[in-house]
Amino acid sequence: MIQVDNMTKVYKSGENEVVALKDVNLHIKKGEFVAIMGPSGSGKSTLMNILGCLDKPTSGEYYLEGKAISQLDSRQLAHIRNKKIGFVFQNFNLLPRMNALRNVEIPMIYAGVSSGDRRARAMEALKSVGLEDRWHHKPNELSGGQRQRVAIARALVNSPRIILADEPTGNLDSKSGAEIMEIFTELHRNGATIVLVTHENEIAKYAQRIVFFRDGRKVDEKSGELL
Amino acid sequence: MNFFESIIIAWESIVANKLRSLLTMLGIIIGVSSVITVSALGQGGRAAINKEMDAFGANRFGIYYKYNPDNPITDADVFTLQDVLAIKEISPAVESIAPISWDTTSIRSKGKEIGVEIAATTADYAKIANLKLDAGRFFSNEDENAKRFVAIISESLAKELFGSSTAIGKKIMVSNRPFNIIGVLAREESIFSMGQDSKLMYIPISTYFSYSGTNWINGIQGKAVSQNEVDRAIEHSLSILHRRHRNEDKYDAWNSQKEMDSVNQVTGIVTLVISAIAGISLLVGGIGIMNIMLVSVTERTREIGIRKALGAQEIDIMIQFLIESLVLSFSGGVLGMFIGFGVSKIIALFIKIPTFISWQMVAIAFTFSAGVGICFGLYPARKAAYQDPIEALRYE
Repeated sequence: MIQVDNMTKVYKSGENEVVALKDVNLHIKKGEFVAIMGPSGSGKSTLMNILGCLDKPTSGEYYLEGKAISQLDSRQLAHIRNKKIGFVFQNFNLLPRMNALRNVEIPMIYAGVSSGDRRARAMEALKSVGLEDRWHHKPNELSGGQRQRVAIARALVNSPRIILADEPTGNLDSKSGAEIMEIFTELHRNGATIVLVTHENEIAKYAQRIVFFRDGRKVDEKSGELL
Repeated sequence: MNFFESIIIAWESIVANKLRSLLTMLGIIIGVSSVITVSALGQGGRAAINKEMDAFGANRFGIYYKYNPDNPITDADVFTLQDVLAIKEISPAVESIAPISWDTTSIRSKGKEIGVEIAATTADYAKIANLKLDAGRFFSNEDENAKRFVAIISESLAKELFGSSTAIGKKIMVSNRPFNIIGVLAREESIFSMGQDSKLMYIPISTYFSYSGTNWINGIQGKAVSQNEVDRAIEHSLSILHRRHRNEDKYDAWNSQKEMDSVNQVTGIVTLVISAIAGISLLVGGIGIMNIMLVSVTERTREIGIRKALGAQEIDIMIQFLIESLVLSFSGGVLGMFIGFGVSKIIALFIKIPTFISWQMVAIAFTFSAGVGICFGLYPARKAAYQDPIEALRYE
């Protein structure tokens, strides 16, 4: 499903070069639930951005379903982000002026789904995260946990192959965090491929496999049960 | 990306910043409303003038004495009734022609002195000047040949003298002679008269000569057989007059078409100047829109990042912002149109001319405001579209 070969990412800021990722090799199979752990600055967010086709590696190659991502243009990358990847962010990234339903509809707008279908599918997605009766609420009228559930509904609505979650519980209390992780576990049980970035053991242990990063390198790999 | 969806998003963002949006639209509003006002008044005014010209008498011309202190008019140069007959006889371009003498007098009525203008002419004048009568008739050739003391008076004079009772058949004293009133002119609705009708009476020129002891004719007025023959009618008249009086360069002529052309020229210049002002304010309005769109793009950097992460193409983002600037300028255009419509109505109320808004003018105003939106929205929209998604997502 995901194949990363000798990936290096270097940021240039003026004279300085910052190596965010160094010779990373990673293979994630279809249906796997992988957690990426590491201290801040270890390159996990950079990896997520590349996996999410938001950024490109300096060298090395990223294959998504066998397709080399470096060969794609911005239009094709947008298409992949829209159809194949579902993003869940630490700070939710909902559009504040729109209600929950319309936030969930956004990916379908860019997928060209008709407005009637959009509504029905968005409602369905909200139902799957238990927020069907909150569809008309704006993000600031929802709790942190509810916001993240809206964001998950939004990530799921185009039936993506992979769900990428960058510290999805980072801004939540432990109870809400546990609820969110229940949703991910349920998704995984239904066959979803999930890659999740976290620095909390509590969260990482939901995953089947944990990959540790430090200073841009992959340093260790463990099974989730061993935590 | 759904076009309708983009319009909703754009509208929401405009409504979310009401005051800012309104101020942004101001340039467009002023531009469009001034174009609409000027064109509504200009076209209405032109239509009114055209109507006025028709009422004044189409294909009308007049001959007058040329003023030249080095070569003054002498008795030998004065128009005669025979001149008028000669022109009518000779020129095929002249349909009808009449001499006219102006005088003023005062008449007594119910102990009041009323200043009255006398126009002494022939029966043909009614046709030339397209005179309309409320009651009675204009004097005939017979009245003229018999030098009868008959008069046609203006509506305001009739009202002054007789109030609401009929004036026909009544007598008025002019220079101690009783004139029989045989006709009352219709009220002149003219933008030049500003709603006031002059106190005027028409009498046969032969009668006038008989009691006043003068033979002075102020001018000759005529009507050409067609619009194309006006110049020829004037040419004939001038040459006949100069030949008959054995003089040269003593007379000159005016014609209604020439007057009309000069009016059109003035309104044309005014329209041009206002259009230039409108153009400048549209330009300024456009820059205002560009400015606010750039602010909007910066403010919504994060939204752009989110939308890109969720699969928006560059073109989707571009269209979204372009539609926003289009909605902004178009709303300004619509608002400007209504304001222009209102302002032109109010001005029209004061200067008493009709307004006329053609659909072409509305189409031009809309096209321009929409065009401004697209032209000045393009750069901000491009800027939004080509944001780096990661940078945009990180933007606080």
